[in-house]
Amino acid sequence: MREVTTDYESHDPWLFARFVSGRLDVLQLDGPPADPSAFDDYLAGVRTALSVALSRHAGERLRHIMEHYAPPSGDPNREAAVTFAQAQLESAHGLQPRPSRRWFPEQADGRDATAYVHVSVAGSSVAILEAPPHLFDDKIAAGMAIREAMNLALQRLEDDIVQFAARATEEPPPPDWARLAEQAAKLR
Amino acid sequence: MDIATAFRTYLDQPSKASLSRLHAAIVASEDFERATPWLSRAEQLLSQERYDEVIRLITQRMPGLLLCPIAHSMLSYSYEQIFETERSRREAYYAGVAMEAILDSGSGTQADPWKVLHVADEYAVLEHRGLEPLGQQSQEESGMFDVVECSDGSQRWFSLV
Repeated sequence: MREVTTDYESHDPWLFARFVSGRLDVLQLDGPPADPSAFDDYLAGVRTALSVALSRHAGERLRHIMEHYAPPSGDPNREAAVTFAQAQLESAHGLQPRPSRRWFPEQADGRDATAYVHVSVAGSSVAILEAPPHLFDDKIAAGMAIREAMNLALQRLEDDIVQFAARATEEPPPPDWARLAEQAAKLR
Repeated sequence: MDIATAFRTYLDQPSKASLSRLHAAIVASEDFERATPWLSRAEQLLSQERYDEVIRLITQRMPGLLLCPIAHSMLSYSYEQIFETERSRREAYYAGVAMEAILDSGSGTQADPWKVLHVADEYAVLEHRGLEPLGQQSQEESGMFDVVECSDGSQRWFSLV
């Protein structure tokens, strides 16, 4: 299966992002405005732009997988089911996960090597982007640090999903009848 | 009494009565769970150095996990790893308060058991005291009690409030 590449450019703030097969491959940024009070808005803009880019990339990967694996069309039931699933997936873009008591692989975080840059990915959106202002003194280093943190978050989310899926398909262990009988005897 | 008020009162005037009110407020919280299914996930995340996720996992369950020594210790350690020093210190302080709250609540005997909110708290106390648990039995006689046999031959009694 060929690689899926998504290029995305935003203008306010200016940013170019290239995603290749689920990872942020290139990130180029124009730094924040000189006014320090505008930094938080700038960072929020970068987060939103990365979120849109990731969401588009996820959509393109999904389409690619469906084209690659889909059997020849013609079954109206299959078409109806796939159309419904696509509509559900599209309407879910940008939704923030609700905290749940039981663990579900919905969000994962990553940091760069310095641990000052923090990216949290929820589904196919970027929920958190934290970075110190001085990072942007070197725009290339800033892009690389965000990329490192984001790719770690994406890797972890992917690993969690694989682990969750593997656990969901595991056979439950056979009951330990000897231990249960012992407990039953105690309770009698 | 809400949890914040009960917690402040307990910190200002620690006593069995103020602890009892704080316990009641925590147990009444909709975030409170006697079981600790989050713990194995938190341990897994810690082993993978995923500190932000440990923090989210535990803080989402607050204030239901207030006075859980291991939850506060995990938070303290995780905040320290991401350089949130103030929060790390605060959680370390809460972990100490949580441990003292248990140790001051009794003497660990049948007549005067230590009062805990979760079974995991029992193991935190034993570890703090350098005791190795060998086995555990639950007893329900006018309350829920756990009796832990320790490797030094002693029995430690806990009451689940």
